[in-house]
Amino acid sequence: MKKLTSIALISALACLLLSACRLTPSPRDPVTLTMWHNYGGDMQQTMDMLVDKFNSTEGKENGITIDVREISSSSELNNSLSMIVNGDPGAPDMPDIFTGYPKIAVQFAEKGILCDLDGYFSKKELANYVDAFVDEGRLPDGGLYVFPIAKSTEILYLNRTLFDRFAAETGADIAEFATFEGIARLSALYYRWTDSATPDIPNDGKTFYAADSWFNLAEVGMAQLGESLFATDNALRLNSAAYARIFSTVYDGASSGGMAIYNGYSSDLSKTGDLVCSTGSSAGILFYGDTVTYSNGVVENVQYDILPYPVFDGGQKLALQRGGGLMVAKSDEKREYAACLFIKWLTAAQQNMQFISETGYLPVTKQAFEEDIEQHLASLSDSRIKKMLTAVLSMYGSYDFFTAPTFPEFDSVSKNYEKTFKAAMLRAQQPGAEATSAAAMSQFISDLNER
Amino acid sequence: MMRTKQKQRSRAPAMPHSGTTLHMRLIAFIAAGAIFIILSFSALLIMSGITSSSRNAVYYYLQSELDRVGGSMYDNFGRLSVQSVSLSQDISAVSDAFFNENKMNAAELAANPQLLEPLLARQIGPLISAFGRSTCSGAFIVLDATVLPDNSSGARAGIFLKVTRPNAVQSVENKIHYLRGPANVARSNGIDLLGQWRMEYDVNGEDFFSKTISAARNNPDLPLSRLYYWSGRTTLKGNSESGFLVSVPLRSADGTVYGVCGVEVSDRLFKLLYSPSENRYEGAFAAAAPTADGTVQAESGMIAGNYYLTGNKIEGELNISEGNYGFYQYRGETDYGGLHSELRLYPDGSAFTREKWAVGIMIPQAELSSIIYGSSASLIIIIVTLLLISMLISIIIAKRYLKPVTAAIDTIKSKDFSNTESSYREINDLMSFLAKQAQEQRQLIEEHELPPDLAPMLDEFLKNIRTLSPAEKNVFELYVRGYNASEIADKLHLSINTIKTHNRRIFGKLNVSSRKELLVYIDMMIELNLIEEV
Repeated sequence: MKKLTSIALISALACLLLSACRLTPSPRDPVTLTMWHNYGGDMQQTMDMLVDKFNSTEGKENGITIDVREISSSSELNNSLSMIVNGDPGAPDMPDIFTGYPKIAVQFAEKGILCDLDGYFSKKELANYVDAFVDEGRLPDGGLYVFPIAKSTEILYLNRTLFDRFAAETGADIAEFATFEGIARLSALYYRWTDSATPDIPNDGKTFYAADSWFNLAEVGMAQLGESLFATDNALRLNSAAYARIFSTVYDGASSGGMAIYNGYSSDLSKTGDLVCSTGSSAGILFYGDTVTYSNGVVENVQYDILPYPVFDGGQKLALQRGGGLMVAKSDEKREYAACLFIKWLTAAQQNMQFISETGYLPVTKQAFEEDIEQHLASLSDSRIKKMLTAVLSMYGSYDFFTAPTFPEFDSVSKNYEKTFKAAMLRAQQPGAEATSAAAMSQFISDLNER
Repeated sequence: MMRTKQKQRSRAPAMPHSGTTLHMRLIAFIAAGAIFIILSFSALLIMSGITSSSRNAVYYYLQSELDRVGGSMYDNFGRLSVQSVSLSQDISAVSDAFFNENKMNAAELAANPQLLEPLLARQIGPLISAFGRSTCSGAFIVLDATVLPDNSSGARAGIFLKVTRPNAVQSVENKIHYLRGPANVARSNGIDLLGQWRMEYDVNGEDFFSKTISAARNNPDLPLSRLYYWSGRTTLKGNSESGFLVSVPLRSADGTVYGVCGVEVSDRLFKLLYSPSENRYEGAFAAAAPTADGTVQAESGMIAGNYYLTGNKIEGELNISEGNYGFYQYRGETDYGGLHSELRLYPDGSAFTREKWAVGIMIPQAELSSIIYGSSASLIIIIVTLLLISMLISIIIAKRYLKPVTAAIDTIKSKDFSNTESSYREINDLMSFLAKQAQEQRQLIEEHELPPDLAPMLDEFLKNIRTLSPAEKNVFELYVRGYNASEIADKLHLSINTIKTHNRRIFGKLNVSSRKELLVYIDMMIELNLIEEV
């Protein structure tokens, strides 16, 4: 008994000594961390409030202040972060905490300037989070570099008001939205129908569908069809029957004039009635209003429906799991510890639910995701978020989720693909375009390889 | 008979004595000394200013922050005013060229809605350049015309551009977004629409539009630098973010006022630029707002601080009054305290010189009071505690000090002087004296064989004789010699009544109830040969 007591005492003393050795901030030895995030617009106020709350409570007790320096879109942040990674002239100072995707994290991690968060989270703490979300933030070396804060997937936004008007006159079937092939058919039909409304003006039909990311569509489409867009050497694998099907589906829709090729978010086109449906991040729900404003200034109230992500005919029900996370710059132990303390606080169930309730993201803790969300849905005041979350939760019951691979060239490869693909589709909409999708695809692959 | 009386007198219960006890006097004496020392020390602390250090610290903090924030705001808002005027000139130059190309004048714009989009498309350049010249969160133009058929609906065409990182001095790019304006103009310029995008403004009730247009039309001779207007906190309809707008009229070459333009300072930018620099007082925040008649129009103002603690805006008005120690009080739904000064936004000769603004650094009154009075409260608690301790000590000391005295009194009462050793010399002396007296009494009793109970009474009688006045003593001596009252009157040439008066006094002083009892004592004196002693 005495021996056991001695061991316990020695262990307690060792723990005390070890914890005393870790350099941590305190009110007498405070630390201020800079932060960049992409939660702007309607989400900004919620994030502002949470950061202020942390600074006044947990942060104050522990001598930690979070100073938000940049709030921008994820693509803008990625550009700034890429400049930091590349050491470009004029690049800003690296923030302590920032939001981003694994595709950026992998570049930072490769240069050794990103903190491996495993050192600051115990296994017990990590077990509180949805495993798949945590795993998404692990890079090939096994380290945890991107900590989940809020997740999203891709869904289909449908302007039900415009579609019903279209369907009433053409007999278009809403079941067609289940597949991309169906959407391509509806796109062609819609263009013809809208074109016919003004017989005196030829080729003035309207677009029906757009994807926020044609690269995502290809990547998920390949997975739905049982293949991968990337070969084992991380090169694009485009010479496959599955990809040819994906390309021809989009090509048919675009060349018919029914699919919009646009260098912005689909929600922009939806706001002016230039689209009936689009696929994009579920977190983009707040960018879809409840009105359409036509170029003559007339504003029409409309209703949006949220449908599951379409599947290529015969393919597996599979959608992309999206949503970046928080990364911490490699620094001294005190700063890293402080950053992780903030992340723990921000992603704890209470704060996480508060954040997602006003932003349209999915929570990341098991408790919030599996238990709190149900009662949370009933209390939501924003009908758009409520509708979206209901659809997404239903998808989580019937879909499998696909996580994009992470390797250093991923970001540049995806950007290059997007740009070249859009150029190919815009060409398809021009008079004198390639006669077949096979020819267009061949040209596309050739262009892609040249870049 | 006499013995019975004496017995009765000794057995009677002790009558309550008037006056303060020695114990209480001693406590009061010690406590008074301690209280005097404590209060003197407290007065010294108060006079030396130690108790007002927190108050002074918060005052200097507020003053220095007011100087910093007020100065910065004055500079920035001044620059924004100048740059907005410059923006108006740029836009007017572009517009005048457009009017010339289209062979029209500005007044005809409202009647030609098809020209609004092409005109606005040309303003993207000047609007974007506004971001490069000033620290602002948005740049806008609103034309007094709409694409809608009904010009009275409040809808007005225009463009509102927003930047996501208004204070990003280090950033390589500062992406511009589109809040208001024709979607085609945004798309042709590669600008993304914001979630709250609308094609046109709704200017119903919007001061930044109506007041500026009205002032410009009523003052055609005033230059633009005297016509810009700072609106209070404005939230465009359908928008989630608020801000101050500085708007300048758009005046064509022919003098027609056809719209306004300007820049925005959003509440986010305001918070980033003007939050109190130190985190010393967490509830402290900076505020800028219009003022009128001793009130701060707080709901038209913006605040910069910790939104979690203060919220991001103040509802209603705040009535200004002078508080204690040089602070101002701002009374409203929540009371605040702090300092403020005028924020001069308009130059002399402006159409809006009567519009007054103030910049202030404020703290919720409860927090400020806690800071100001916190140290005084602590001092009061310390003083009260010290006083209580000193009282306790006084009681203990008094009790300990009086213990030998009360023991001595008990000894005297018990008449047992066998063990009378005390720590006080005076008590020892007294005990020795009493012991000696007791010894003498015992000897007296033994010598004259008096009953033990009678000796003390006789002893008392003998002592009391010394208290008689000379006149009374003369009467008493005549009684001793055997005279009766009338004989004494004759002898002393006094009336019998005077003798009776003397008698009453003699009886009282000698503690006898009658002449008969007096004579008994006199007989005993004579018998014991004690006459000579008196």
